[in-house]
Amino acid sequence: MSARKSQPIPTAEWVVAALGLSLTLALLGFLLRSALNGPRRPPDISVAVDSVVHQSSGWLAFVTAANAGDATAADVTLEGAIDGGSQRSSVVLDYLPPLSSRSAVLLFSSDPTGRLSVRATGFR
Amino acid sequence: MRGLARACAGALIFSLPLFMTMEMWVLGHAMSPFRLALLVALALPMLVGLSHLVGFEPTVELVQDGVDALVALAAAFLISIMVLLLLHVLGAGTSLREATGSVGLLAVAGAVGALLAQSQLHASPEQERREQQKRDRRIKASYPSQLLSMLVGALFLSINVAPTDEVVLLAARMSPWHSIGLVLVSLAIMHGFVYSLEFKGHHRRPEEMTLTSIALRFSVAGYALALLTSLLVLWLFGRTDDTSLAFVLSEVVVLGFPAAVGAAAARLIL
Repeated sequence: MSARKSQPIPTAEWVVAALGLSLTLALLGFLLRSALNGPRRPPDISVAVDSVVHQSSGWLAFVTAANAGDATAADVTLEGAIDGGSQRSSVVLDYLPPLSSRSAVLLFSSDPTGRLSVRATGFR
Repeated sequence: MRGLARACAGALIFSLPLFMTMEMWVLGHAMSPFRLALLVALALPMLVGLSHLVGFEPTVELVQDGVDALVALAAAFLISIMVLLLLHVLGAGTSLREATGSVGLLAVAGAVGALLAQSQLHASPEQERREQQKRDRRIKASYPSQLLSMLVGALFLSINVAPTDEVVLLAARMSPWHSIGLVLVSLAIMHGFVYSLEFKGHHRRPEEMTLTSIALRFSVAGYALALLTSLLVLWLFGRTDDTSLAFVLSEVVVLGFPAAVGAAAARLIL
């Protein structure tokens, strides 16, 4: 119809199209690689104590749980015990995706520094 | 005045699902204030652009578009505060920090709704005529403004879905094969929308009409835009923190599905 429409497609449109195509193909390639990459390891969870902070209400132990497996763990329960069980405290993480980490806080009424052991006790 | 009333109605209608989503209020104060500020800062130019595409009235200049965008934002703030108070999400025990977070987040989403409503809630014959003009304009719309339409559509639907826990849950449940399937289906849906729009009563040169050309410039580019929008929204909501690339990509593909539908539909609606 108009003169504008009979012009050829601008280079800029092709540049955007090429960017879009490479992004989409890269995504598909990555997904395909993970799909073909052998058996999936179950969640492999390790928990570490990052720091302990003293507050008026007690002691806060900041912990980080990391998942080294290939599957997501849901409702991960982390439990911390002082001196092998004289005081226990636990917290639940909603999701712990593969090769990812999440932080949480355990509360204690006495100083857990150096006496605290933490581990994951279960997940879905 | 009627413009403001219509903007309020728009913010309400298009954002009601968000107002009543629990995660949305929580994210308002749980998300990083820096990212919330960034969202608002990014939203402003986007709202101005969107206002240019739909507008309260046929706009001719940037100032008018800016004013309309701010009116939409004001209406969305007003509606957010009123609805959150009414639903007792905000009350006597709410801190200012918590309230600004929730309201700010909802206002951005509501402002998009307020402007989107402009293209849908027209009533009088005069407005019908303007609507027709807009349709004509759309057919001639430039490529950047078509990309902007897709961006707005993608952002609108992904913001509605992203706060829910289901995005993470679905990403965890789906295997890479499911993700690949979802990518292909999203692309196909996107192309279906694009195809129906591009081929309806347009008289373009044959070389512009080839399937490959349209697929690459609109469907694939639009899907990539939807994916990038999903990534941005996930990052804003802290869904990518301390998370592996593979899992983030699964989340992006899950959220990219509504984003792609939103992007494609926006070109039909706007």
